[in-house]
Amino acid sequence: MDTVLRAAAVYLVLLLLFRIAGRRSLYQITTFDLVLLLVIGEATQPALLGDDLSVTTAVIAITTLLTLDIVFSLVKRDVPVADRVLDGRPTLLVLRGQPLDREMRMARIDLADILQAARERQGIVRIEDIGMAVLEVGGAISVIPRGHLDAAIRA
Amino acid sequence: MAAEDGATTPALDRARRLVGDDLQAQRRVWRLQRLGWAGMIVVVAASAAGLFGAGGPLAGVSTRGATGLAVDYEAVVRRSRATTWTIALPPGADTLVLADPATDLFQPRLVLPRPIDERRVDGGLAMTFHPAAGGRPSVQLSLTPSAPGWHAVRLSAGGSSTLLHIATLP
Repeated sequence: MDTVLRAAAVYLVLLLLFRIAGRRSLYQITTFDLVLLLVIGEATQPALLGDDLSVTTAVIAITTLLTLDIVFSLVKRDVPVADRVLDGRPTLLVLRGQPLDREMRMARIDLADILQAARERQGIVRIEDIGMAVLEVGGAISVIPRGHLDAAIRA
Repeated sequence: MAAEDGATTPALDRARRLVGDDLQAQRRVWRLQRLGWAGMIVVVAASAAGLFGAGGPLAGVSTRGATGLAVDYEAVVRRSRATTWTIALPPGADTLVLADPATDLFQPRLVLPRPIDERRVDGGLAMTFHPAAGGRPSVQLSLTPSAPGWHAVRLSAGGSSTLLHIATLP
């Protein structure tokens, strides 16, 4: 019982904190971000397991965490409001080469981030050649070349 | 040229619909996120100040009994994390009594100086120390909080008693 409650509490607190922290924090994992995630895992471990190092406790904690994750994924699939609240919506950042300053500022994305995504994913080097840049719910930036956008709108 | 802040034009609205963006909902989320950040800053500042125990300028509390029993302790502690009570016994007193259920809520780990006698008495645990030479005996109790919740713990010595109010965080 204690292990299930601990795992549920840790899951919910992490869910809340990462939702508050926003998508920007996981948009592109840097070396420091990776180290930070490992440190967060280390800091979480005592709260999850206490001073109980038995295999049974570890199995119960892992099973509880995965079960909660499955339950939340089912809730998000079936309840659109929960999906919006828990995952958010895609956010348009650039349209036809024009950056949307307010959206970028609020999402903590700068032009360099968008151009980096454009170079990496589409080989685009100029902002004018971007049809759309979208911050996806998972934190990645999708870039649609201007030509593709025009073709999609004409279709 | 950058688009104006918060601009909504038919083209923008169309593009947002195309990708499933909902600007109004997203703005609400951003506002909530900023509130959340403020809350996180408050939590960090309160933790640094000691409001969640484990040291900090606001963590320590002192209580002074009318007849001389004085205790310095942490008013907020964390389960399983050791805490120390520094107890000055009244002049002439050599026995300290921890009233029940103190020892159920806080497991004694170390008592300095070591008591010369330790026994269960009616309603508590009594520890007797060597009489201090010409002064007030001072005792340091290191304890491990074991039960989350709000607790009131009574300490008595030499006819004086005092109540410690302690919150144990899970």
